[in-house]
Amino acid sequence: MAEITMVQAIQQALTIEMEKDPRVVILGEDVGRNGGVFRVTDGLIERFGKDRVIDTPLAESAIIGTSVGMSVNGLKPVAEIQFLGFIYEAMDQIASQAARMRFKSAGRFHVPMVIRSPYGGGVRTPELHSDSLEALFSHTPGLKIVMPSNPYDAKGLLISAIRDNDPVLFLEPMKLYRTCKQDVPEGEYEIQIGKAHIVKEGHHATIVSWGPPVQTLKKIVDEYEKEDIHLELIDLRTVAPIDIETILKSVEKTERLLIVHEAVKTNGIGAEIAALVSEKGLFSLSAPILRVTGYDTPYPVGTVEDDWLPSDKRIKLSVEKLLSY
Amino acid sequence: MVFKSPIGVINMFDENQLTFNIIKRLDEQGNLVDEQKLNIKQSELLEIYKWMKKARLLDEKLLKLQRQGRIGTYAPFSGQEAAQVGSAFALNSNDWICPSYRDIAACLVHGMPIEQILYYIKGHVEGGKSPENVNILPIQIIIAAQTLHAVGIGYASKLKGESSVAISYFGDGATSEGDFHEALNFAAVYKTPTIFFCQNNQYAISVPLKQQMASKTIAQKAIAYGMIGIQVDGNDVVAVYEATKEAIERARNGGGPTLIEALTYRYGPHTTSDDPNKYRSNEEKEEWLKKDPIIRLKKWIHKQNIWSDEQDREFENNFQDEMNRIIDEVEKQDFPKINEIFNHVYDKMTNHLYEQQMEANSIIQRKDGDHNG
Amino acid sequence: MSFKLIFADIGEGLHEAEILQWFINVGDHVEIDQPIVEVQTDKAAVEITSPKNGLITKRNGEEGDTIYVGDTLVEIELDKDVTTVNKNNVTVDISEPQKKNSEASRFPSLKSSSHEKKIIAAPSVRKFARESGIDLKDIQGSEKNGRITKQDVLNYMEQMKSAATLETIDKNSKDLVNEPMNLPNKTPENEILPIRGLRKQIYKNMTKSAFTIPHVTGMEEINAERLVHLKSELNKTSTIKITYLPIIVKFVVDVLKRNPIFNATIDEENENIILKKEYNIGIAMATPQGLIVPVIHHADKKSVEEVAIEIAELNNKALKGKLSLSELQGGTFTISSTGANGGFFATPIINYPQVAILGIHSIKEKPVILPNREVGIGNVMGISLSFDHRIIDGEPVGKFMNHLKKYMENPELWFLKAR
Repeated sequence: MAEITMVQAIQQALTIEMEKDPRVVILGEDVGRNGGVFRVTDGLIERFGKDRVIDTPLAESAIIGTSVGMSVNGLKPVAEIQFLGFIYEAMDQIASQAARMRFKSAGRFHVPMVIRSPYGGGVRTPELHSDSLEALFSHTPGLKIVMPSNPYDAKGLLISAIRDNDPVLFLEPMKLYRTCKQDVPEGEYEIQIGKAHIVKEGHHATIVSWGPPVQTLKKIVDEYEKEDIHLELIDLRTVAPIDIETILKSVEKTERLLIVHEAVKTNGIGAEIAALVSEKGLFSLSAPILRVTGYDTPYPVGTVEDDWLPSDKRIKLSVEKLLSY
Repeated sequence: MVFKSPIGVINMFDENQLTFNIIKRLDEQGNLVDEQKLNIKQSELLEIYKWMKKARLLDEKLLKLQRQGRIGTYAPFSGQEAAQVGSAFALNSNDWICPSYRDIAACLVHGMPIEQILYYIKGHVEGGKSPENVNILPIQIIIAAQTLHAVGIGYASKLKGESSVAISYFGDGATSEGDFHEALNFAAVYKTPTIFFCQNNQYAISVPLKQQMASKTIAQKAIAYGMIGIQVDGNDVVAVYEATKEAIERARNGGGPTLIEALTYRYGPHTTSDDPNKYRSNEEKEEWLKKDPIIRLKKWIHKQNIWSDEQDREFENNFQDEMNRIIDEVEKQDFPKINEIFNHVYDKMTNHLYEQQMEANSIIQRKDGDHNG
Repeated sequence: MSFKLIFADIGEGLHEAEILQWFINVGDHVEIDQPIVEVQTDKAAVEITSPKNGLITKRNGEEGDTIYVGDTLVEIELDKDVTTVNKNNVTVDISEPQKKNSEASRFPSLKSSSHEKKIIAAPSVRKFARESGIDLKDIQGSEKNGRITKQDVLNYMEQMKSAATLETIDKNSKDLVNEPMNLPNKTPENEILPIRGLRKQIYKNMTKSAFTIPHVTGMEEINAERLVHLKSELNKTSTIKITYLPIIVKFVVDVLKRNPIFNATIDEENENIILKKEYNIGIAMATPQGLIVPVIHHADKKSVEEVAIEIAELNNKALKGKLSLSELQGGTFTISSTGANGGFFATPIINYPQVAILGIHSIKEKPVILPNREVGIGNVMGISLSFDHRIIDGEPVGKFMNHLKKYMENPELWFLKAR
């Protein structure tokens, strides 16, 4: 076992799957010769050839639409959208086409493709490079959305995503690409899509999160541990479908729920979790469900970015408020 | 146009320098246009005639059904039979069709059963399910989206070393959509075995061609992407067949994609919710009726003495009976209920969908007025 | 077989159309696809053809009339061989509006009016209360905005145990709490005390008793000289304080033995009088929260001293709110003493479902007729016996009261006669 970054973990997953299954192809802008703008697909074109690692023209809708066609005719494309903010051009091909092909054809055709895309804040990018847009896609039945928070999860989840028979949106947190190193097994392994991970057990309150905030929360939970406050931290890992069972079980124990996500507050996935917990676990609650999220503005400029995101300070304030009920 | 700059005259690409050549083989009177031998057997032409006739009769029938409330909104294709039948007839059975919502005739020729067509327009849960051995994607409502799928399908065939090609049908309106351009570009770069078949029926609902684009033709757009574009008389089924066949061969042999623009006309409304009298004149329709694709082929096969009026009448009656029989069969069936739709969202149903399916199930089993928990 | 051709929504949301031209008449035979009528919709002129072979038997509307989606255009008597069932018309169903079900009593948890007091409590607290059988309306929240915590509920439950209850109270019955609790004060001086907890129970009990049982009260004056003397003698010997009450309890037990109809309860449902063989005497006690009636079980088997001790213990517990349920249940007869500062007579309310209650009042100095037929000053006690006049008539009451009077005026008689 070696300690590797998330970039390396993702690369390993891609390599393993391309080796194992000749139907897997990679396509996107700059993924081939350049190895991807984050070097995630580095070395793959040399190993698997330009027919399987395709440098596409600059056309997001085409990247996804072509992938849909490839998928119905027996390939397993792993398409890259260079930054999640650029995905709007491909909205129809994702929501009307990829997500619905199985439904429209009553199972005759299906689209086993993966869309990979970097996202997430804290790295001072230009406009539309850091947006978290998972909620837009979670409203599209037929898609699955996976958001790993560490290298180990990233590799296992990507392998599962590629093997999945349905379209999966695989979102990669830029901030954690290289800052997070972890022991990751060298061979292949799968992590079940749709299952959350309890990072830390506790009984005073439940915190649910995914992506970059998970790393921040780990530190915060440890700090509170020293004060004899035991918070249960759940890394959701998959935001569509949501593993509500794990959350409900936790809330039954702790009676308090805090949801943390980078995405904008209104109608973020936190809202869906809150609705589900109100519906199925209301009588466990001794306090209102709180959320710490991005504000309801477009993603802001670098100078105010850190205060816009769920910061250490904002999270702790909410935790204290939650515990005071 | 010529661009005059301070440093001299720069000749840019000039539309007027292009030669436009509409491929024609059979004229309105059913006579061959030139001496060139036909690349199609007589027996095949007779088969094509029968397909076109069936398509026309089916289209008229479906329109009537809609007025009787037995099917939902319908987009008729009468007038465009040659463009669809001629091109689809040239396909192999394992080739792919990516259709729009007005391409029933092509789908029929390529193996879509009439029952399945009825299921779709009657709103059956499995209306989009082509038979196992028929490579036709579900009807596309989003204009031009299907052009990209044909590119991907073609790419996959090529990568797998298979010989199948993909043909995407779309109208003149689709050529304004971004996806159309992205598709042509991608197909040309990667030389995918894709045929882009545009039925230019002069209108996108009510918007006429000259408001849809400033280019003289649709076919010329292929040049911009570095691929071949041709224009054919869409009501000349022989021309359509030959042009499509040639494009298919090119694709199969690794020669890359082709854009075919078939000039034709839609006699009926855009859909059963449209009134074409608001934007088209009857005179225009009369003009096009003179160029009717079925009549001109009928004239030709008459001349070849391989088909008589009596055979024609008998064929029509038989097909009417067949259609009525099929419609009856379909209308006798119990269509699937809402609980079925949950099976087709994911490969394996998720918990939340299962819950919702149970709820939907229990609600449809309740009698009206029963709201007790 | 008759077939109706219904005018369908042929244009995505059409509602009506005008009949332009009929192509057939009643009595015509039509074939499939034959034109029947042309109508003008908002969007276009549309021709509708026949779906079946058959004879036109009815034609609805004339040229120029308006037809609506859902109307029948024509009726066709189908030819013999024609199959008819069409299970899947795409036309939108114009379903009947649902009958409104106005029985609000289907939902017992609904607020009965929009003025009902607002309860502020977390969901987990509400669940806990519901499962414990507590109505949150009865509880004052301890948090500053009136929010009820789980601890509040627990405290209330403790208090509840000490409340007088001989039957379980239906927690959903809201008929007694008609007064909205949060009406704005009309005059600033008024103070509003919510009827809660023990007071609420007493409220309910008294109401039930008073309005179910036809109460009549017999009153008597007792010459208490001998009683007063007895009490002081007993207190010289006894190590604990003996009041009149334990003495009278013992007298009453014997009187009850001789007048069994007074030691009974009513079974309203089965219309039975249950003559009790146990003598469990309830002693009404005043507490700051309200009236409470703990019971001396088997008073017939206890000595005066024991009764006195028990009364003192029960009184102590009552004041602390620590009476158990068993100490409050099972009474067969009740004695209510109004104490030294009470009046001379009263009309006590029977402790439902018992049939009688004895009120004993303060001993006062009053003018009495001395043995020598002169008027002097004597100690007199008033007693009041309320009884259920459905069960007990005047004569037995007289007998009871005489009996008791004899014992109270001549305690040695009790020594002689009591079992």
